[in-house]
Amino acid sequence: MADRSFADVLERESRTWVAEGLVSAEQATALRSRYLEESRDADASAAVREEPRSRVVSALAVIGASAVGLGVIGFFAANWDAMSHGLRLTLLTGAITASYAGGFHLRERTGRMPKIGEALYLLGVNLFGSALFLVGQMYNIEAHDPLALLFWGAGATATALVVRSRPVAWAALLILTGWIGFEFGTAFEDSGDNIAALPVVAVLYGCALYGLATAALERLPLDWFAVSGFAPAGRRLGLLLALSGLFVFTFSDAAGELGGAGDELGAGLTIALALLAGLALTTAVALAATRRRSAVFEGAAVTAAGGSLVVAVIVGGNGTAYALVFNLILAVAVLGSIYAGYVNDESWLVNLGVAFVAIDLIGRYFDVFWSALPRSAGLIGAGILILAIAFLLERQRKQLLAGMNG
Amino acid sequence: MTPRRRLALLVVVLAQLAVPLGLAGLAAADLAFGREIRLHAQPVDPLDIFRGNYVVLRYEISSLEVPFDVRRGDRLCAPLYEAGKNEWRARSAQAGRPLDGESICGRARADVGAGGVVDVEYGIETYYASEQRAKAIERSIGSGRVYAVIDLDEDGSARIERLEIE
Repeated sequence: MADRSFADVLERESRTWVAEGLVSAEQATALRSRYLEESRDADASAAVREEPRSRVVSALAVIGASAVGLGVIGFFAANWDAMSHGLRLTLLTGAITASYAGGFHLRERTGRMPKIGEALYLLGVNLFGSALFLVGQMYNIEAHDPLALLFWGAGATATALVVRSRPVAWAALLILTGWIGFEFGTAFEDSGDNIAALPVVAVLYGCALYGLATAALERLPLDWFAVSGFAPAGRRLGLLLALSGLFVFTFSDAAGELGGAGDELGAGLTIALALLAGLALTTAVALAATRRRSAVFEGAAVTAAGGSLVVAVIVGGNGTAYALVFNLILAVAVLGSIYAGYVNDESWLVNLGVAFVAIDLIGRYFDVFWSALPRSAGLIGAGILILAIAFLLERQRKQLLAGMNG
Repeated sequence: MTPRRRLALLVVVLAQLAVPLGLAGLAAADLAFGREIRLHAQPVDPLDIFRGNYVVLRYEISSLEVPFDVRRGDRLCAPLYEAGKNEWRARSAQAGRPLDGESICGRARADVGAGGVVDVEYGIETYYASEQRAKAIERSIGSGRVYAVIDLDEDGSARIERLEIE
């Protein structure tokens, strides 16, 4: 077994080799893995110790990159008239270039500060988006508004695929999700403020994203995709959106709106929603065909969530009945998420499921009892319920996670 | 990072530089070569003129009579005439761009029957300014008439160049 002192020396030396250009950062990582393979147990415990610190560094770096991006927009807004168009464009393009160059230097070339390098890549993506919006303002460009988000998302996606960074992949997915939401939101506004249809998009898009990302992770034999960070980000964001959308329709008022939503949609919107539903159902089939232990259950849950929404939008009907159906589907989806997390060793699925159990119970309390009780009694009841839920869920979650780790 | 990925990163960065520069170049070319006209403008909300750092504007040509049925999103063109003191106006909208004279084109915002008045969006309804400039414009709007200087393309599309207050 390689001892820790050797591991430390190799770690230090390999960074020097990268700095001197003797080996690339990837080769240094491969060498470290090769020599330290025997001491996997020791490394694993070190990794467990390192993980929280690494996450804190990543989080701080991402917050810093976002703050600088916002600061750039603020700086331009405050000094708008003092700068010529040429100077503004020079500063913007210079800042984008400097961010990417800095990221490349710190993460790929020297490998000394990979997290800060990653944050600089993220800053480059943010600055690219800022440049698009600021150019639009400089020249009073009034194009189709969501288009800027599509350009930004495409640029972020390309960056994420090339640099293989999870924070950039998250940013790309969030921007593209924002674009889809903006497109549908604008279209719904134009078709008579049909707000009930927006959570429908959240469920269908979330199901499609979760199914697609999970199936891709399981079935695509592409290393570059596996390390790009898109699949984990897509699964988390997809499930979060789908559960949030379903939660909205557990309330009878919202479910009642849903019944009439299909009547007022134009042909274009109906086709767009049908395509989204088709995509969600196709990915459900692909998901069910994977080798995951819960594959069939997950595929069936995605089909049930997407299918029942489509039926409700097309057929319409009683809101209370639909609310009952969606309560049942949300319960199956949430408990299923905990089950899938347990059998596949994925703690985030358990955590997300547990969080939604709490959210749903609180939602039901307010839905059923809030109007029937005096406000002060309602608040006391809500507080006791939340504390009880927190206690029970924390105990159950810890038991589940301990079972998974054991 | 492999040489191939380095090249891919270079291409991605160059593309991200080219998109904003390209947009700026196209807009600058429009402003440089377009026909300049002046339209009388007024803020949509006189109490809250600037929403952040932009003002939403309305023009006399924002509502025009149409002699035919119009559906939301239809392209409409308004033949322009000079109504003294370098101010341009229009009387009605038509389906296509006339062969001679200046005209400005936009999209119908609602379904309207023949002989009705339709709201038209030309893409010149928003004007951005810095916080300081916005305050100055806000102060002067109360004491004078506002004109938007517009650059017209040959195809009738328009872009705001600046605001003038008299």
